[in-house]
Amino acid sequence: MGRLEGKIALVTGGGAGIGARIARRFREEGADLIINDLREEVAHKVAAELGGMGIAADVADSTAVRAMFEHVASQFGRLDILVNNAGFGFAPGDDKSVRRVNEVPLKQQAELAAGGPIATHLDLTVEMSDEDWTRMIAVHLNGTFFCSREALKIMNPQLCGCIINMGSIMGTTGGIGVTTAQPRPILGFTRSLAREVVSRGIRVNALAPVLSIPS
Amino acid sequence: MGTVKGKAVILTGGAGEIAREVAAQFLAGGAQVLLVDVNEAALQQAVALLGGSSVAYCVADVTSEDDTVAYVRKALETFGRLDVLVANAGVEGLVAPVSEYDTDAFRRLLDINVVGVFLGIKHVFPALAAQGGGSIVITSSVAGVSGSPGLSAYNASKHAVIGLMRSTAKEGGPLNIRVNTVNPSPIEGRMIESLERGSMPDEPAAMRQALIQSIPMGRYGVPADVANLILFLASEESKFLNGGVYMVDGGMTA
Repeated sequence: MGRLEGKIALVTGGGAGIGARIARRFREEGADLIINDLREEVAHKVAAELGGMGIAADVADSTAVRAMFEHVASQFGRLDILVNNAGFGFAPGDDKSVRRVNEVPLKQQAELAAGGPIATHLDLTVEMSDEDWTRMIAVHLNGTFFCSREALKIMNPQLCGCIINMGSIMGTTGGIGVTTAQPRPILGFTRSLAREVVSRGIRVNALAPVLSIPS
Repeated sequence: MGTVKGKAVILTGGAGEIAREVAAQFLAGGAQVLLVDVNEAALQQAVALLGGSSVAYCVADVTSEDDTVAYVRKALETFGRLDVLVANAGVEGLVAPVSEYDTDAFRRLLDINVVGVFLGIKHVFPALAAQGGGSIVITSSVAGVSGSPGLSAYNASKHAVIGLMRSTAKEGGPLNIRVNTVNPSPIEGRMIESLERGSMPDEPAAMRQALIQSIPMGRYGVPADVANLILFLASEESKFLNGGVYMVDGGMTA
């Protein structure tokens, strides 16, 4: 008998990476799964592998999120677990920033070791476009809020449920500016929501993982 | 809970109420447990209650380096291995305004709650390292992350073990030794009843009421709440968890 036998769990961003691993582990413990992802094909692929339901929706789009949770309510009639996992490190396709984060610190160390002043700089913030910034906030912050709000519409009358938000160690220890801007408010939102919904027996927590290796 | 089957565990403060539940869960999971405490009669009672051949005890004062060496040696001799230290021994001390807090009592409390944990880690580290790693779980408290009036020594000690944990977690990482704290809210039992009486001698029930009101889930914890977390941190399932402060407080410090 698994620890999540009979529980209905929705994992956002469940089509790949950590989200897909969370889903797989939940399934091993007996949960019934709803796999959300921005990309329809990966949501359905993971759902098919694990025997769950796949739903494509952009968590940053409140209309799409509402429709997703209404569908969940009509199909399952309840929701026990929401994992707000959808997110990304840098905007998809922003290889330049990824390369910078990987290479600049090494160059800086080499420059320091050579005794010279540091001549290479990260410059992520000054280079970031309005669109990339807005998208990042929309997915991580708005997405966590929209999904939590709609999930609570199902969980509230149940008087039980569990919401898990993905923060990051960047949210607790600090990190590169643009990557720290979302996990910190997520931790704050988690704490305040936890106090708000405890009266209904709903628990809210956040995880703060270090960087993970995609597999 | 993750698996703790076959693990050898040292549990200090082993005759206390939380420890009783922790030991019972370890034993139920197939681990072997050495209970360490200063109170031999209570240890004998605990061993008799827990039963079975997988539990042993060692009378030791955690503030004594000789006693610490002795209980680590006893665990290694009894079980032939060592995987887990639960550094759980601790006292609440006095409840008194800081200007009236007895200095010797302050020193004595730090000796038990901080130096005792330090000694345990110090002498368990080589054994764990030699074996390829292990897990150390320290019982801190909500008093390790926030203050309570009248508890200057207790607060200081529970903050201090978080620092000790963070430093040793970084030392332990390369050796595959993980160090974490569990931070309970008030847990039903002797200690919180003593603190209720110490804070409001005439109306301990009112103190209890006030404390419970500060816990969003509306109740004190029970020993099993803490034991569940300690077992997880000792198990293989938590093998990447190192240097963490884990609240088990019903949202008290959220």
